[in-house]
Amino acid sequence: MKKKILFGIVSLCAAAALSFGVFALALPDKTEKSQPEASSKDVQEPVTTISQMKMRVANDRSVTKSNMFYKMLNSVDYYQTVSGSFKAPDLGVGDSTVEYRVDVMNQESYQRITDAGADEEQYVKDGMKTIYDNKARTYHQAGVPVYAEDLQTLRSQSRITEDEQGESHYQLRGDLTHTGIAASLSLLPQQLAFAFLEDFDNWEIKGTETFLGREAVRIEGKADAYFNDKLSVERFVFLVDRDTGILLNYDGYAADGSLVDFMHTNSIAVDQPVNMDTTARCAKYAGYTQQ
Amino acid sequence: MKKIIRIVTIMSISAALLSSMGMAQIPKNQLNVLEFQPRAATAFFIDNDSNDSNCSNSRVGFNEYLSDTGHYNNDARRQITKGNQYKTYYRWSLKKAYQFTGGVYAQLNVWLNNKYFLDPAAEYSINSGDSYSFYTLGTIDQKYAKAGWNATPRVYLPKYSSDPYTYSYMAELTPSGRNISGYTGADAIQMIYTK
Repeated sequence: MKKKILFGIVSLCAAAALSFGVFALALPDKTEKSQPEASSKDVQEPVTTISQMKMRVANDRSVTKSNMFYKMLNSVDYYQTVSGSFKAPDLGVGDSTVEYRVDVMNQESYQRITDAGADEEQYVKDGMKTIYDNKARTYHQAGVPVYAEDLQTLRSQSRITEDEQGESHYQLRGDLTHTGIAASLSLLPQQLAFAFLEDFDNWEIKGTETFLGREAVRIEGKADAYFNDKLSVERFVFLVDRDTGILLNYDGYAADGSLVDFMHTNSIAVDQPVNMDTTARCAKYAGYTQQ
Repeated sequence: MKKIIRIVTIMSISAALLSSMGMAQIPKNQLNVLEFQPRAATAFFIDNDSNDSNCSNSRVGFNEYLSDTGHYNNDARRQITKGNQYKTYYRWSLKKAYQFTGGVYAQLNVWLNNKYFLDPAAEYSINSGDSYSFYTLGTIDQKYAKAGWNATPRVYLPKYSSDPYTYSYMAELTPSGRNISGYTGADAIQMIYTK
């Protein structure tokens, strides 16, 4: 049976460690097989802490195409906590509501997805993700990734490259919220940025406006041929949080003007205290069986 | 012709890289193991339904075979996403495991190019240590994935056994279980290890 290794539980800091430097390990040749393996001192494990990962990057508030694109790719650098909810299609039966609470520095998060066919809650704490299916009354546990990313490089270089065959490569950052769906659709919308904003000629910044108390940058553009065919989206409107790069709202319209894809934030609070208390979990999920 | 050129190119690069790293074969736990000392990233290409003698695939579900020029080498597989998060998987395997001492960094490059691949959180993992110990690399929203190579975040695979060597040779995809009308897609991948 598949076993998900949990290697982020030693410490919360180490649970988001980065790699720096180059190893100088000597792999023994065949004649050295019987000798003890290299000392553990030789093994340079990643030591960078979540604090270092969250090392403040200068918050450029300029409303330019390059800056908004950059912020959407790296939004998780610009907040410590976030809570709220949004509605989106294609996550279950009918439209789904996604509720979330995230504490990035402590690597804790909560996500609840409800729709006509599902009610699922997900907790991340101490390097472990536990998902409760409130319909089936089951739960599933797995480790969360320990990312080892060279953020200095990720932040400073283009994350879109082309190989010698002319094929494009899109580098994703680790989801430090560990929510998965809330991150990809709103809190770390790097894939939506790649999908709709890669070609700067396809979109325009239309100004700023206030949305749910946040200063939002309004972006309007047209989808490329691939996403037009895939999602039936011909044109789109983004509202992007100016301070963080969080995607606050997304509307995708078909050629006939109908709304065919969306993500609508209902509420959001950034860098406000979040209640991550999970002491009531044991009682709430008593009787659930492990899947 | 394009397919042949790609395969030859990848095999040539891999062979040159391995040769330069002092590859040697060591039987271990009935596996053939490549032993080498990489100084930089080392990539292994594995397609779905691979006919490469150095690779193999296994799956539970993903029964639907797709042929289309947009797929890598013109083919892929898919699985209905909804309700299949703990029931199905697709695996890409090297027949000769990547062997390393100490920790190693790993990530996957995932080829995605299909309008019906809509899993909002397809999960990718890579094995280390023993056959079925998988480390999660992260999720990819296949709905918004660009057509092309989508690279997962890089994670650290620690050495944890008392054995001097740890092994990695398998990547796994599991559906999120969401999206009632969409599919989770499996096509070509690149397993990338960095010391």
